[in-house]
Amino acid sequence: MEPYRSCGRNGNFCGQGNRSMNGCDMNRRGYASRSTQDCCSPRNRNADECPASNCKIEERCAYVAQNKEECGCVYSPRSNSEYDDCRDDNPHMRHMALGMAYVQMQPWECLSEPDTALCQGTAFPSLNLIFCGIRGKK
Amino acid sequence: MHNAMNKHELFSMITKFSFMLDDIVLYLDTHPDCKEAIEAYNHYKMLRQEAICEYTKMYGPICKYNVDTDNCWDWINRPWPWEGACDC
Repeated sequence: MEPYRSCGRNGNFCGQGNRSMNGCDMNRRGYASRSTQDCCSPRNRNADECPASNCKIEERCAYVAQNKEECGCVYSPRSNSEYDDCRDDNPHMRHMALGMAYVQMQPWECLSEPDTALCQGTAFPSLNLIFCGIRGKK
Repeated sequence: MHNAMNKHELFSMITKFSFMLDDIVLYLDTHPDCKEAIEAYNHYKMLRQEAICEYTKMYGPICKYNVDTDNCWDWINRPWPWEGACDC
């Protein structure tokens, strides 16, 4: 197995769907750091669940599923896309064709009040993204 | 509903409801079967229409499609933008 590398993202958010450290498993105390590909694996596998026969990880496994079926995502489907059967598509990016651009389907959410919506430029709270300037710096 | 509102407040409401509709329509374009979005669309469409009716009744038409004519084209008698019409 390749040595683990930190996800490398700043702060408490790995950037994949704005997950907190607790949700991401990134650098969680007591576990090996995950690589960028692994940091948002939808299932935190134990060693005995790992399909890789040579897995030596005793506590957390960072085995990367090779296809959608092996990944075993149990989230309910949101669309008819064969890839879109998970709330978070990011763990399945590796199953997708190279050289293609993908945009995840936006889920419905409770809208902001009209006053707030007009001020923030969007009626959808999830799309109210903060822009900090060039490369995230002011 | 809009009795206590002045011209500026009513126009502001129309702007806000129109913006809500703009964003909901963008969502509906990619999610045409979303019931929640359709409900939200109908809700703000109704609010916007009410506000426009009220504004038109009290302050005149906002656009050329809502001009209430009897025998003449009253639209040209209202202040033009360069004459201070856009003071909302």
